[in-house]
Amino acid sequence: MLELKNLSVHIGDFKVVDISLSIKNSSIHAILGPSGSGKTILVETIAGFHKPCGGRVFLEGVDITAHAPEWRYMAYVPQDLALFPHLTVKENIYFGLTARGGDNETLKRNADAIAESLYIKTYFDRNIATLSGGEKQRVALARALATGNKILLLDEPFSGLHPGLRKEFWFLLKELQNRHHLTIIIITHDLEEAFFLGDHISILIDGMVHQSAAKEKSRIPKDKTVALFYGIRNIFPGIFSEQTLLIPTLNLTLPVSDCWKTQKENGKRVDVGVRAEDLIIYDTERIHGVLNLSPEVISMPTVRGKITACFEKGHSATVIFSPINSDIVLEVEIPYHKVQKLCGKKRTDIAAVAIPPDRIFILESHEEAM
Amino acid sequence: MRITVGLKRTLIINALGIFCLYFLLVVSVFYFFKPSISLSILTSSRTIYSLGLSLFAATAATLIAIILAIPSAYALSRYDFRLKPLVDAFLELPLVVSPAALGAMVLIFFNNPVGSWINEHAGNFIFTVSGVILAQLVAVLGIAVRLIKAVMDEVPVRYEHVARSLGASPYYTFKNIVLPICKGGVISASILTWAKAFGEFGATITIAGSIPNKTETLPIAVFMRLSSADIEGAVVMILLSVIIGLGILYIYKRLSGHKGIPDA
Repeated sequence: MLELKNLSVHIGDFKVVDISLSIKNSSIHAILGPSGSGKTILVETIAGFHKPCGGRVFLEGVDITAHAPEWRYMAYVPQDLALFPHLTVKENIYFGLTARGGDNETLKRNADAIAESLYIKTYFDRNIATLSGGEKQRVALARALATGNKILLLDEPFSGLHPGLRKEFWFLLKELQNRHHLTIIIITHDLEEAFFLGDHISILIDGMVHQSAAKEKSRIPKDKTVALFYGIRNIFPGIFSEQTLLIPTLNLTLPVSDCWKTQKENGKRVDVGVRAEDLIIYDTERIHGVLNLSPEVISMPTVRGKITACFEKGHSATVIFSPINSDIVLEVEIPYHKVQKLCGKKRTDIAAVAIPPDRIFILESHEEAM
Repeated sequence: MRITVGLKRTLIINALGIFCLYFLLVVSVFYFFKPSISLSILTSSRTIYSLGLSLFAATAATLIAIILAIPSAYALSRYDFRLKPLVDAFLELPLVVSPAALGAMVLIFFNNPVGSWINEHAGNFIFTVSGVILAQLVAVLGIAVRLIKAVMDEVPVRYEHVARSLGASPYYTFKNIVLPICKGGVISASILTWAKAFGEFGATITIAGSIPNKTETLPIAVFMRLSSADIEGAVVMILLSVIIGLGILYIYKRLSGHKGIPDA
């Protein structure tokens, strides 16, 4: 177990403040955040490159805050991979073995096996400059693993790859993690990457951890900052009133749910959010005819309005929906097979958006109760 | 597009103008060039000694300067320490103080108790070959540090981070990662340092004097021959200096491989 306790670092214009995280062995912990949030500084401090101005780092209960990087046994892969340009692929991979002063045969065999499993052996003697982006990624991973380190610190290592190759490396990393029982901390600003790879996800914004939870619980943002970072734009003001939640801008009154982990006293103002992909949009004119909606959808709180815009994204589309008698808009994500049906509609046609109550979340608000 | 082409032409004409200025200076010395006596001047023991001393002293001063500059440049490039701005400013001393003043400072130093002790026990530097090397060293050391620091600044610190995370000690990382990556830049810096040392005059004549067949380097030989109205002799020395200096700089340009940005 790798533990960060109240870790604070300040380097130039960047800082991270009071970070406390527990990273379980043989798990992938994704640290997700926008650019400039302090992700790199945090991981570099864990690696031992920066001296924290407060807090401690523990590895298996041992305080390693003062340990030099070479004595932490954590392999670091930066965003640009930093493959040593004056060494061949083989020399890069063997670097850690010779640096530790032992040309240990077992370690060499292990390094060779890793290189073999990553299909690197065919270009073992090539110069780094001649490798493609994907080949460089493989060499960087092999170099990190060759020393036998069980902790891997990855700083956006796949950000330079095209989507197809990036996905390939996600599967590869998962496979390597399973095979070698690695503990991986991966830094990313890509939500899909964090959710694909991470067993646990921590959201770092402006140098502070806003949310840290297992992947299953990370889907729901805890506060508005995280919601906005997730790209959730369906955020509306709400007020608790007599066991109901009023959302005035949508003309909706919802029964209070036990899932909402917030105090629900009368008059308390909150921000209410719902993901675009959780909303169900349908054509009201055909509701009693061709379209066969489930009773569950029909029973959901519904907002009527018009589709004002539709943005196709290849695999899905974002629909902009304007509720009647409201100046706000709802963003709805629809799968590609519905694009033709819905996006082809006239902009004046009435449609409806059903809001599944269990998908509504309450964002922590610092406003006082009325 | 038209403006870009116009600017490009103006800039190139400017560069060619500067070339013409220096080229004219070099060509003008041929007015006093006498092939009949040049060979005898060139093969005279005094010239050969001056040339040999210049090559030897510049090489020695460069070697010492580079050996001292590499760790200093690394420290200035990578670490923050209390006196760093002061150290950084003092590196410019050879540029802001005239070489003669720099040489005079060394002479004054050897006249204080510490300097006198060094002069007596660690070798005499006044009017000796050691003095020539010392003068050139003082004149080029700051520049060598500045040049090598610029090279090291260009090497991302992430290489060192990765090496350390793979188990390398700071010394192992410096020796096996930083130095090899900087190799080309350090060689280029050494060549420039050597060229500067080779042409050094003011500090050298102040510390080592101008004793023929003892401390007379090529630049001092030019001055001495001019002083004695031996224009033809001075011209031969000048041409020798130009050929060696430009030859070395040509090698530097080839090594550093700087090319212009190709047209879009």
